[in-house]
Amino acid sequence: MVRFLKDRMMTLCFAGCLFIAVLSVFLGTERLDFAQAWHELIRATPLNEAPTLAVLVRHRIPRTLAAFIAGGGLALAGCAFQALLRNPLATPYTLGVASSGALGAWIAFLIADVTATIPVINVLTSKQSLAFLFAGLDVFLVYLLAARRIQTSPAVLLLAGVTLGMLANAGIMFSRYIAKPDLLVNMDRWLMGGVDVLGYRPVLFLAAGVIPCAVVLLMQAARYDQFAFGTTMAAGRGVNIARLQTTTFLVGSLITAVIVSEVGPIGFVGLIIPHGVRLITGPSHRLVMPLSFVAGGAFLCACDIVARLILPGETPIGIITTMVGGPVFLYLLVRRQFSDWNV
Amino acid sequence: MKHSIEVADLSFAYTPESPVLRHISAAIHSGTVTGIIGPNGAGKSTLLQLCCGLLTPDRGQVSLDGRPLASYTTLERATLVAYMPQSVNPAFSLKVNDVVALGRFPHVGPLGTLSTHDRDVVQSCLDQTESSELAHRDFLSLSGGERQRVMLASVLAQEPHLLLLDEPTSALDLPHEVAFFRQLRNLVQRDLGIVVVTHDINMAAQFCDTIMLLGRHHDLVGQGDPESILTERDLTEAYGSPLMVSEHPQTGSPFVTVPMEGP
Repeated sequence: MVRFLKDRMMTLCFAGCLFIAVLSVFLGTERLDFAQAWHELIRATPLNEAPTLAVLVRHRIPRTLAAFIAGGGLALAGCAFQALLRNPLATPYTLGVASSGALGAWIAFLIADVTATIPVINVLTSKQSLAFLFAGLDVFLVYLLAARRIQTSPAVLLLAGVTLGMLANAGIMFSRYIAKPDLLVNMDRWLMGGVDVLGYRPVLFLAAGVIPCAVVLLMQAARYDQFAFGTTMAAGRGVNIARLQTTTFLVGSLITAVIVSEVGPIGFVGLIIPHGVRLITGPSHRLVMPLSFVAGGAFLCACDIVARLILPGETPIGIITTMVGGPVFLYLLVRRQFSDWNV
Repeated sequence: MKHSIEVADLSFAYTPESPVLRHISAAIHSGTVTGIIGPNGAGKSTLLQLCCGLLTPDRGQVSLDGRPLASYTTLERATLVAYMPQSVNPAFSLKVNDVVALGRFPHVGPLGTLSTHDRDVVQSCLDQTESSELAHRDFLSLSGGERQRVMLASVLAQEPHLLLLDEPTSALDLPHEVAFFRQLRNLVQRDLGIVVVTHDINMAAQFCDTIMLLGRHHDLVGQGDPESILTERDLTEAYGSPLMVSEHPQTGSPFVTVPMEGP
């Protein structure tokens, strides 16, 4: 009976999350006449002559997809880092990955004037390349610490990550200081995060980067379960610890870098979603991870709806995720129900 | 079939200047309980971790059933040798059933889906350790003795030939400790081999077939049955402080105490 209810609950959660995502297509600053869009669709009107359908296809749908993939990827990466480090605070942010990626993208902004004219360098110094380079550098440094000994304490890794994140933030501050004022507006807006993508190129980039990584992480779920009783126990059970660490750090940072470079550093998703999901599914990562992906996607879609509808103008989504996520998380903490973590 | 772990001329150090084990040669067989005893820092736990491949020796070799341990894959190894660390603390709350099911990891596919057979094994391991009635409890709510029984069930679920336990009774009171060792005796009747690191020399004397005595100089002082190893001379040499051996009033097995100085 409990099992049945639990399965029901899972299905309901999945359905609810997908519903929010679909809702995000239909809500927006501009009210759309959906009957009109439907007519345009069944008559196969060219997009140039179908303004309503064009808004849907060119704006709403890619935007929703981008929010969903980005939110899902961040939540999944947070989930994997938390499992690997056996620490409820491990996320792409606390490990410094997101800030370092942001610094990389920030530098790309800064030198865009100079590099835009040279074709090859242009690619190498794109937001994406530099975000991945810096996120990778951060993870490499944290990973060096982890790989030195099998039992480096997760707290040490987190401290290293937090410190590297602060260094990256100092780098961002410095580049702000030396940047031209007209650049600053664009850069600041990007730093606050936004999923207001146009067309499908960013969506394809996100999907191509996030989905294969997500599949790799989901395949590790049974191994993460073994980490519940510590690395020594997991190693005794036949988990290849070094390989799992490498996979998680590499794939987790790749996911984060791809997302950060496209939608900016969006906080809190990787922290709050896995915790919330655990309350529903229990500790098995074979349930926590897939639901985290879907719930993370839905959460970011919901925040995007708030950003578009409830507040005037298009509020940066990074502000919303933290303003919504922060109080909810604090409330759960105070109620001591924030998860089933043994802390 | 008999199964065995053999270590030959094993040396190990975490840092080059301070060796943890020096030139250890010994053998462990299925169907017996082997106790590893010795003073703090003698390298008992390290020896256990070397025996199941969690650490790699600097010198010498560990073989499992005649084949070098390093030639097994990590999953193969986990189906033959199971290891239970000294104290475990789960990262989050888990049901006892799920804790034991974690032991099936080396037998199930990468997705961790349990078959009916796997569930049967989990149930039988709970039965063997007399923990069936705990199956739906939260692991964090269990007492120390119950936790150790459940952990024992979870390593048994790996269906190993050899089971290595690192100080499994260090947190238990005397009756629970005796109950735990009795359980180990029952298990070896099914041709399982058990190695147990313990600080309780008298418990080892009563419940182990073989004792490995490690010395304070990180060497093997002796391996053999309790009567031949637990002598005042060897114990005093190994621990570096005088120990007194008498006879257990009921069984006649060696009984170790500390001589008191003065009145």
